[in-house]
Amino acid sequence: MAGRLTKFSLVIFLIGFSLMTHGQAVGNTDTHLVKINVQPITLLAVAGASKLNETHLTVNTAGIITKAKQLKWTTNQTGLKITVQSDLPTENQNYRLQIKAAKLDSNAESNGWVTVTDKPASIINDISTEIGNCAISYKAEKKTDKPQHPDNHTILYTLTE
Amino acid sequence: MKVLKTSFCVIVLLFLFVSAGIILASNTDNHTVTVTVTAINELEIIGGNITLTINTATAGSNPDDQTDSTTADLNWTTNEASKKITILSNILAASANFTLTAEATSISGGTATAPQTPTTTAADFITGVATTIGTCDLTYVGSATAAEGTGSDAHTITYTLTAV
Repeated sequence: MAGRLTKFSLVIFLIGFSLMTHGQAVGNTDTHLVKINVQPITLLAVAGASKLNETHLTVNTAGIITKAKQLKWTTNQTGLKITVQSDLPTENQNYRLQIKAAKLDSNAESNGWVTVTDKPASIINDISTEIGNCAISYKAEKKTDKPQHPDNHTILYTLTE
Repeated sequence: MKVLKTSFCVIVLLFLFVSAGIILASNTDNHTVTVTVTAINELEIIGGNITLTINTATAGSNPDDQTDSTTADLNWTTNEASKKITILSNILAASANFTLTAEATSISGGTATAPQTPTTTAADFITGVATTIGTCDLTYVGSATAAEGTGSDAHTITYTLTAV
């Protein structure tokens, strides 16, 4: 008799537990779980660029022609930097092109004037969990051993680790 | 002797009629049926748990908010006056990494308050609930700034139908 009673109690308990775990309403109150999941975001855009983080730039005897005059970025990551590089092989460049992140609205630091080559070079270091922007300054000087042909660059900016 | 037998037969027949309920029953009868309505206050979340995933932004702006107003509804029934529905979270406001707001939208059977940021203290979510059945969409918005980094907050949200 006691054994049957124990089995009956167990069945009642299991039914009750099942109802609770499946979120059945119990009177005048009810609960559910709401989770906010924030994933890594790392975004960079070049204002005036044809693509998000890529722009065209021409250097000739008249100066520098480009529409890319500002960078904007958003990241919720730490320890990032912004690099710049050209698709024009360094040995084919007739001008020494330099870029500087100016008017920096960021907690990070500008590296000052940076020479653009076909390898990534950092123009801003130590970017962490922020939205930021800066102006882009350009200057170029002709290499003495090169002809006066214009340089056509596709400049790539990257927000990276 | 004959009279005695006849009397005996009559008595036996009467006894049978009485016991069969034929003689004393009329063509009508009644009894009392009582309907008792006690206080009813029922509330239920329809739908399930919700995950708001923040993973987009525009460069130069904070991450985009994420909104869900389709996963869960709230239903309620009350036959009492002067009721409201409150909301609370199991997470202290100071302990939350990100911002969560909740709002009752497409509501009937009550009046929605402004969007609430649920905390461990119950706050009014729907007011003006009285002798009604009601329903609403549960609209949640998750927000995060770039400065708040990545991670997750898991709120256990409780709704309660209670007296004003």
